[in-house]
Amino acid sequence: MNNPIFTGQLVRLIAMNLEEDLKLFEEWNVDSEYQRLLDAGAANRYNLKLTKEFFEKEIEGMHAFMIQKLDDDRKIGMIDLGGFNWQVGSAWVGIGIGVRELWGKGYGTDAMRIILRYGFTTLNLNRIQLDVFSINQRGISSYEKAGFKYEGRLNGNLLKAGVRYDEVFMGILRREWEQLQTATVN
Amino acid sequence: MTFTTQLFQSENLVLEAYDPEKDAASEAAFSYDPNYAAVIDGEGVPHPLTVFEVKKKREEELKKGGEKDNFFLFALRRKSDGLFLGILTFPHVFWFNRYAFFKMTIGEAETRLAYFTEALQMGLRYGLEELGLYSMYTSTGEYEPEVKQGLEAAGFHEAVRQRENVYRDGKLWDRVFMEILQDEWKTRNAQVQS
Repeated sequence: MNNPIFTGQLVRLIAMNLEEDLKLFEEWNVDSEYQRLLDAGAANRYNLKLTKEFFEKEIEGMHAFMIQKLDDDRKIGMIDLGGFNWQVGSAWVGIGIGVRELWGKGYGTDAMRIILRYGFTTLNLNRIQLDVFSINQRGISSYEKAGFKYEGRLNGNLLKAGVRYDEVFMGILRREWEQLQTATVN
Repeated sequence: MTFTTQLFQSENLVLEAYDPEKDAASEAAFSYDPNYAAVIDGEGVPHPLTVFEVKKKREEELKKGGEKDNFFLFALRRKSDGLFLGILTFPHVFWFNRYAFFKMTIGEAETRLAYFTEALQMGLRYGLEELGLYSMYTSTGEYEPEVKQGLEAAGFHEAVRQRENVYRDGKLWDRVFMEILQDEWKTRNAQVQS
């Protein structure tokens, strides 16, 4: 738990505790905007038992973490790497800050920087990618701050309340991440 | 677009229900081509597959797809002799948002050259006219230039370029998502007809 690789400036990443954390997921999912920004599917309320069964089945193939604030140890969100392609060394990252009042305060960016470090220095990945909806400008800015580059968009893939939003794709290569570390040190 | 449009037949091709009993062996043979194997095995490492593996995977997909109504898989056959050429599939239609990833793949280079364009038109008709999709997209890259060019010729445009996300012939290539919107398809067809 004290491995410095999982600790950033504002948060640390810790392994999930299914009993505790799925209850937090349930609390966060009450906020439908949180769900709508997180996923292209329809926002929904999920049965706790079925969610637990899903995680028990899938967690071995995921690298899922809770995001915990350093100052008060509060768990405020989750982040995970999944969809690994070991032939090219790539993975998808997904992140959500469930506590609305903490949006836009740098916690997500810090968590993303930690998971990039983990992905490139521990998992030996060559690229990490994500998708985000064009309505989520706060998320896009955060990913840019962490070093992600724009790689394109699928037109109008998200339909909410009769309005279409683009699905934006971003990615970062290991050499780009390494350059950022050098730039930060110098 | 009218109800008289034939979705499952074109000049030289037919779309039929995929039959694991007879089609899995052809696909297993095609899977020596990594670009074909990648279609069967999704994001996995492409490798030649046994008939057993292909059959099991396709049977599971068909069963699951039948339950969820968001999965479509067709066998692409030559009309004249019924030869299995490849597949046309929409592995997951996002009904909420009315878009889908699709893949149309023909196993042999010779038949691909002869029928790619015709088969692609069948895929477009099915996706945009029958499923009523707002848009559809597929993945390709410069590692299969004839496929990318064929998609461009049919009206697809490059939408996303995931750098260094495919490994072929000893090097990393970009994975390119090519997209077409229903409106673009309609405009294109109207221009062809006028």
